Amino acid sequence: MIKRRQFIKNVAAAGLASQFLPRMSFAATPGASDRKFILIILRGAMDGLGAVPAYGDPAYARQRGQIALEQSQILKLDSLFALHPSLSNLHSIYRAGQANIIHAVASPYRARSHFDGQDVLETGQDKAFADSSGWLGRLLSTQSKKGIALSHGLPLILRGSDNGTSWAPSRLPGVDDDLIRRLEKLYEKDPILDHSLEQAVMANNIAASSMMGGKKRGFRQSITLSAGHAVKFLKADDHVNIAVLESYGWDTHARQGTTKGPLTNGLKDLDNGLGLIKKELGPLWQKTAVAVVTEFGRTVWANGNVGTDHGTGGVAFLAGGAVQGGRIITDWPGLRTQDLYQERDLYPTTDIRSLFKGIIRDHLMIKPDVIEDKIFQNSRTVKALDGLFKI
Amino acid sequence: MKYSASIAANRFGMGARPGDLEKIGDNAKGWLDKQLSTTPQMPRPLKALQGSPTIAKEFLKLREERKQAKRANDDSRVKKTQRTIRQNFFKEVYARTLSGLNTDYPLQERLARFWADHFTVSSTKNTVRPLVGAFEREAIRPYILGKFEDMLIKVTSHPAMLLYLDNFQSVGPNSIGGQRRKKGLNENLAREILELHTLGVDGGYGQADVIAFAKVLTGWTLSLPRHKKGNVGEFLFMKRLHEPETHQILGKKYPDRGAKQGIAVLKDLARHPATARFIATKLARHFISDNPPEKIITLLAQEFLETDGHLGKVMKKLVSLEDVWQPQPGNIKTSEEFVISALRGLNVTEFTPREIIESMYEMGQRPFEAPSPAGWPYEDAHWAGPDMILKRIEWAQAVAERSQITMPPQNLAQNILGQGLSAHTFLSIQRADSARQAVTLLLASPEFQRR
Repeated sequence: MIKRRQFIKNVAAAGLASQFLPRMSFAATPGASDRKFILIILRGAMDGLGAVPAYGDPAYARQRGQIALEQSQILKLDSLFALHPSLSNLHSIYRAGQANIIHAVASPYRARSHFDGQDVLETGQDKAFADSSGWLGRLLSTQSKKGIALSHGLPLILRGSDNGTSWAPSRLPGVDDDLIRRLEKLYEKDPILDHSLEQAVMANNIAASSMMGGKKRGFRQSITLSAGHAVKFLKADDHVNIAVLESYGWDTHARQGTTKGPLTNGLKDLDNGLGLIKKELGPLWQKTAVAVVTEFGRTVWANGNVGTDHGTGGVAFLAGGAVQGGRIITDWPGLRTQDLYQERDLYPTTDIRSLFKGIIRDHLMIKPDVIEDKIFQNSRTVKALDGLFKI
Repeated sequence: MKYSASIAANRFGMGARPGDLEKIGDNAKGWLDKQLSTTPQMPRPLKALQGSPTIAKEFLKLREERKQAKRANDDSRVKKTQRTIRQNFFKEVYARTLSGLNTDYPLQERLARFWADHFTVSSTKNTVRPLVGAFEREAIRPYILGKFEDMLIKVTSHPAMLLYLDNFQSVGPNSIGGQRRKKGLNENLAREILELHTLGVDGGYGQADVIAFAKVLTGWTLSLPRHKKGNVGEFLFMKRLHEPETHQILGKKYPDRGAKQGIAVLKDLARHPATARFIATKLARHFISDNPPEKIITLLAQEFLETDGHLGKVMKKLVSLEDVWQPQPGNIKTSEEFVISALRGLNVTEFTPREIIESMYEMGQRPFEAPSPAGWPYEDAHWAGPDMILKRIEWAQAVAERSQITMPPQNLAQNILGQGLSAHTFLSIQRADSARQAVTLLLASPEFQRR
């Protein structure tokens, strides 16, 4: 895929073609040429113990009280952990050895603001507002491939590179090439608009060229819908290898429910999305990893309204045909009050960056020194999780 | 310092209409000062709308009707009630759009939107949806040039906020109600007041302060029919849900004086230096740039503290600073600002509420539906995101197709952008292949996308 601007330049300077070749090389990175990575961000803090109940922990039923799931309702993984009944696709992916669950995981952020928590999750730094680029954005600037968010705006995690873009379906009539050329000229002196237009045209070309069958109506940021679009982008263009999906509505302060309610609805959407990704990717599923993350967990016990307040340790999922799965990765801290973080939250025992580092080292084949120097600076003590992938 | 009419109308207003810049002339600062000295009036389109209690009662009635219709399997009646609920919401969006479009006090409109965003209530929650417009009319608009403290108290006690951030159901564990029922504390509102409304996330509070403040706020609820107390849809303090005793917040002890305990905390928060700084930062970000000069933040925070949070005076300070009159283009407009300024600039008056809602939907900013209690993002990186820019261009083209401008497009550009218009953009517009393309380029230009 040649960037539009470059393409026009190439045509204009046909005689000097070799000089004007696109500045990005699309030569395959050895070993990672066709690997795909999908990151699903659950904004608002998913209740980790609601999604993955530690039903076998002696303190589980007592601590969770009204929001504890019954043994008959859950999808058991082992003698300690189970999945929420809505996660049936994930359960069968796990059973097939293609999913890992990372429990009691958290970013280094320890206060309880969504906005700071998401900032830390996306920048990959130790504290909030330490960086204006995201770790996937920094990753993209080390590779020639592209990353796309299925969103209107470009989320922080993808900022900081020329290779990040965003796309959402439109009901508006499209614009023609002539207008785009004029706009490119108009934006000559405004680098921000110039860059955005270039990226948008790129994404739109992929959308128009192939797969979408015209633009789709009725886009809402449900995981299932944007997962469908993400898969199409990943299949349509070899040079898109990363997709970011955003989901909202996980801040379940009231009546979050056990097998009904907002948490269940969110998990169902997530599970449908995962099932759809697996089905629609077809053979490409074997080369894919899907990570599901959130900014932090929630309180272990219910608050006064059968909901949960902001917490610390939570859950992440890693699924995909490339994943060496069927494991629950955790240094389980326990659920007794004295085991909890500040006597209220699941104690975080795994830094979520070790998951990210494992994925980008062993799946996207980024060299460890590049990871430490360019993508996750200042976190050498956080070691990549080993053995997450088959090869 | 050069006070430019273009900056006054575009950076501080809702965008210039044809002829506006001429009217402002060389009195740009005076034009803003006058708006900041005029007591905010309710814009005409908003006057016809109902207050919270009436809206709440009607909503409860409609919900009850829908429930009964569902029970009776009467599909057409279910749909009819749903349609009424939807239409009521459309009316709110339409009236608010009109008040932005037709206003002669565009800086006041901007401030109403700024503060409604600062104190976000969002119709992402179905029960909040009917009240979001009334919230802005009742708790925001009357206070935009008054004391921050008054707005904070009104906002915190407004039914929409009590519903949105769950406080209506927060119960003191040791209250009469708490001991009888299985309900208890909900931290949501207390935390967001500290983090998002007053001190800011680094404002020096901790988890213990959040819990203590949540306890102070127990009993702050709204009257519902089941309470058989108060006027349905209005603020209600329920002593039987209130956590008794003294609570300590930021090192200060607040004795239990019922609802007055919470008001005392809010008053102290409103005057706190961290709050002054947080508000100053947000105002400077909004009107200047994502990373405003430190000295401006300091000056505004100082004004805030010296005037006891007098927002009109803080704004007067802001428009008196040289930095805000810098001619180079500032922040990227939000999608709402973009849509309203485009309709103003092109003098488009014929549109339906649905068209407005769908336009905003496409451009990622559904009216009254901010994604979180933090409101809409402020960063240029968000509003100039790739998909966002392309959608704006597509929308601009659709609007350009419909607009009937009465002067050559490059003259219109001069008329509404004035000195802000660059020669480069002027030429691009002049050289366009059609009026449609010319107007699209005008709306898509950096000068129009920014303010």
